[in-house]
Amino acid sequence: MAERLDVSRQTVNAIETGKYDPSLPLAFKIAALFGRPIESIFDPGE
Amino acid sequence: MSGPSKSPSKLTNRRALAMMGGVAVLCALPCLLAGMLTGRRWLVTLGLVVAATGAAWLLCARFAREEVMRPVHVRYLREFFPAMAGYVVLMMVSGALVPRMESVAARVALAALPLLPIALLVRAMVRVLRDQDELERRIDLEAIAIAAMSTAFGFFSFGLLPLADIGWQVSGHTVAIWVMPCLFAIFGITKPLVARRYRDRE
Repeated sequence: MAERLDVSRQTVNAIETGKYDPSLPLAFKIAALFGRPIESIFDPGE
Repeated sequence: MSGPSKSPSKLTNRRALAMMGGVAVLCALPCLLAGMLTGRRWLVTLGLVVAATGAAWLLCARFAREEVMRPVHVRYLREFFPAMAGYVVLMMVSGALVPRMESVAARVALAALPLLPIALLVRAMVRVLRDQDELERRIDLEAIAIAAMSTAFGFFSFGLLPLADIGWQVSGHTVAIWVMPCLFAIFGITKPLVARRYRDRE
């Protein structure tokens, strides 16, 4: 997944565990990778 | 969910750190030896700094994860190594030849010679900072900010202490020459601490 997003494993891990909020372009890339809308992946309340 | 890699490199973080540590220790040995044989203190100091850096990298290699390096970091190492090797060689050349030169212009040119690889090193750092991913950039920038503030604070404090007239006699050029190594050393210590904040604690 990290390779497909062109980011490090550390970054994917930090996003998964909620330690880091990705930028909007990266969030859109993640949403596109899963083929789902951005709001179904990221919860603004977190 | 694994896709085809653009240009997979076999170099891992651990192997790279071990390699860098080994090369640094190997570079330090001739410096230390030459310094002790010729009685040049600056060569011994250079050797000690390079050896300490190498030892730190070897220690980090022991605890680093076995993770394949991304192309942006492989490129950084490809730029970093020749620059550092060039710096060590030019420092030795410059230190040996400057005292023998009559002409001021030749002395200035030779004394400034080690700045060339340092400029290449700065360029490599700027390039890696720009091209790595957003979290890596954030960690590096936070670490650089902390290192810059700590270095400035430390040297400012050091500048104030002579006001107390405690008998310290440190030349301006000695202080100036230590600014960059201190900045890099503090950056090296700070970066893993900053990165810890973004790591999952299991």
